[in-house]
Amino acid sequence: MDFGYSEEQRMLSDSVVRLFAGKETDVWAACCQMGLAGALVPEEFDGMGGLGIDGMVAALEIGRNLAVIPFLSTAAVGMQAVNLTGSKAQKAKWLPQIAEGHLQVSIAFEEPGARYDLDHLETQAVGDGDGYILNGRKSVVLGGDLADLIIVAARLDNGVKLFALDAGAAGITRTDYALTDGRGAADIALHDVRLQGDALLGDGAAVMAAVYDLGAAMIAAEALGALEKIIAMTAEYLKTRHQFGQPISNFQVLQHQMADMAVAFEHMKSLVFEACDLAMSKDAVSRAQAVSAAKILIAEEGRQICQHAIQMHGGIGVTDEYDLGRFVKRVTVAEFAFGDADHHIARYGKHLADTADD
Amino acid sequence: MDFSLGAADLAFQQEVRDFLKAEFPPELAAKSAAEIRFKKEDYDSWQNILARKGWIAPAWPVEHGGCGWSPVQQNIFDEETFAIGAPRVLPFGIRLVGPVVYTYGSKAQKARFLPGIVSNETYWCQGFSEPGAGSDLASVKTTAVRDGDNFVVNGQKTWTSYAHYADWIFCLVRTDPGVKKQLGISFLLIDMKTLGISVRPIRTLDGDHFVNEVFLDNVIVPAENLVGEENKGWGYAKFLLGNERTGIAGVGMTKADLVRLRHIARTEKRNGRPLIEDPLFQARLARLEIDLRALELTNLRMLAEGAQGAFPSILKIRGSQLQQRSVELQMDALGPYALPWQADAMEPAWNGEPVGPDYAKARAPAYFDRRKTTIYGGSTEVQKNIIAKTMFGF
Repeated sequence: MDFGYSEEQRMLSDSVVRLFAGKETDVWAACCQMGLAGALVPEEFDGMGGLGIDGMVAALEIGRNLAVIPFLSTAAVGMQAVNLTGSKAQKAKWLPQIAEGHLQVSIAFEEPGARYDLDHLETQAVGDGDGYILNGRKSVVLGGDLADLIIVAARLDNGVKLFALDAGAAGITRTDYALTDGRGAADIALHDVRLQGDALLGDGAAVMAAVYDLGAAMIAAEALGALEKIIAMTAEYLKTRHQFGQPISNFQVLQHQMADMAVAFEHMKSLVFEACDLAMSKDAVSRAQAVSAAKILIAEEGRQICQHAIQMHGGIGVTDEYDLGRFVKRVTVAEFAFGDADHHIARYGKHLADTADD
Repeated sequence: MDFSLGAADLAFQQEVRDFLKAEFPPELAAKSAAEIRFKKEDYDSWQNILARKGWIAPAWPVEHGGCGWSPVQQNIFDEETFAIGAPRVLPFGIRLVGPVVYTYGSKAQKARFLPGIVSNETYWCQGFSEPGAGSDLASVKTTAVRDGDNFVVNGQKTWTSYAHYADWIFCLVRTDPGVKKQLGISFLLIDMKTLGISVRPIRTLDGDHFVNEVFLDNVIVPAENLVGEENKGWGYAKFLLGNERTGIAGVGMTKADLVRLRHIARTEKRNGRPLIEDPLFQARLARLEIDLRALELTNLRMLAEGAQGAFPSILKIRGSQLQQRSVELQMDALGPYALPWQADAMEPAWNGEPVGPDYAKARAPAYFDRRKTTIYGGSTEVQKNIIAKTMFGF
């Protein structure tokens, strides 16, 4: 049993920290140069072959530093969608490009009205000679504003398939926007988009959940990094802010709120570790349970920590110029992306009921 | 990062399981399953088995008759014994006074007191709390006045668990009333048979009797029973309270509670379907299971990383809350049959016919019993003070 970083993870963490501390103008280019884009890409496709915990090492720093880079969309979930469904030739075509940072990829699984339910899929693919024609709509595609390649889930005959779409293809309309935390996303409309046969990656049903779980684990780790900063900022603020002739950290009502944060934080940290450890596991049940568990605590207790942190800061906490709000907004996005608390509680609970021992 | 047990720990776990399978008495297993309260003879029977095996003192160094197990091994042992429903080993000798004696006691005290603890011949109780000294433990008023080779002790202790079983009591007593309260306390070992000691039971909300008031009226205690130095008792008390790291989260107990909870939730019905399929109940159960999962991992993190800073307090707070939520949800799952008060049916001598399902009788008593967990061993509020101190660097 060991809850520390390996030598390689320590090095990865240190170099990401150094990079974020520097004054790079193009942060993502610098990240790619140090190999971050290929951190999870298998070695045979020019990546570092990392697993969930390696992804977590990066994601924690991304959250701590509020980095706006396509690590989650491209290097984690986009990569994993290609990796889990692509043929050898497809992987050889795209994965090295991802690893080098030459290709941004987004997954477009969710649709308006689906509310995190991956089975709710109305996008339709039909055969067209050697190729396919796609029609449908995709909602809140993370990184979709800048993606070169979009991995779209669609129904084909009786199955669910993943297709790799060139973002510039005719018939694709993107509506780009910024999320609450400043990162980019898009709604995507597909109108008679014609694809070559080699755009079909493979079966989607089982893979979509695996990809989605990786996304949930990574964004939970980002949020954990942000929450750590939020708690530290709040503790520091309470020590320096004077009211009634003394630092407000002297007041027990605030001390106990800080203690509540610490209790919640250490427990969600344990679950985020576990979720990331299993995020790329083939054991679908263990993976899903661990990921849902972590995501629920981030969504529920993370939200509480954010609200209390703003409250304890008082007026300064609601100003846009103070950094606290940026961290809070980062956590807020993590609460909703890849399934909210209710979605994950329902999934966890259903499994519990299906498998309860006697 | 590696969340699994290493090969040596897995082998140890198997050894524990084999031992429990061979040695845990079926009559105790039956009592546990039927939720009949353990009495002194039950604790005795199990603790004698552990003592014979040499497994009664997991954390003690081998030289004093202990197992010398690592924190991870102690945790494995705790969880395995809880899982089969074994009575917990009463902590007063093994976990509390024993380490104080072998750390701060004289050679003569070690020779006199430690063997009786590891052989399970001597039962101890803890004379810390007083009517006016609960969370503010350093306010103890029980006095010990030097008189030649003796101390004369006067005062009252309360919430004294299992004083009615105990042969000895370890007490915090005031030996110097004229200094800052922490600096005038001594740590005294007192034979419960001494003239002037009387024990009065306190019945708790669950209908059980395990805590007591202990009155000390001109009790003559030989000065050789003073542990360490006079007026240094507060330090020994802090050592004792801080010494109990493994087991602080109660993971094994709550796990066993959830096994029972799932059984109830599969058996009880709502709208004609098993309660466990009801979305509202399922969500509450899932939320509890997830918190337990987090507690278990956080406990393992503490065992692996060391019990630094606020870690023990964090685990005490969340662990005690989950010990409460688990029995609370059991009671909720039971529904209307939580209403009949059947605490007497948990007594071994009772021979009536309980109403409702077989798991009904203990639900409300368990719920009321567990309210104590966020109060004892440093209340939640005191633990929060400790955490805040570390966060603000006071």
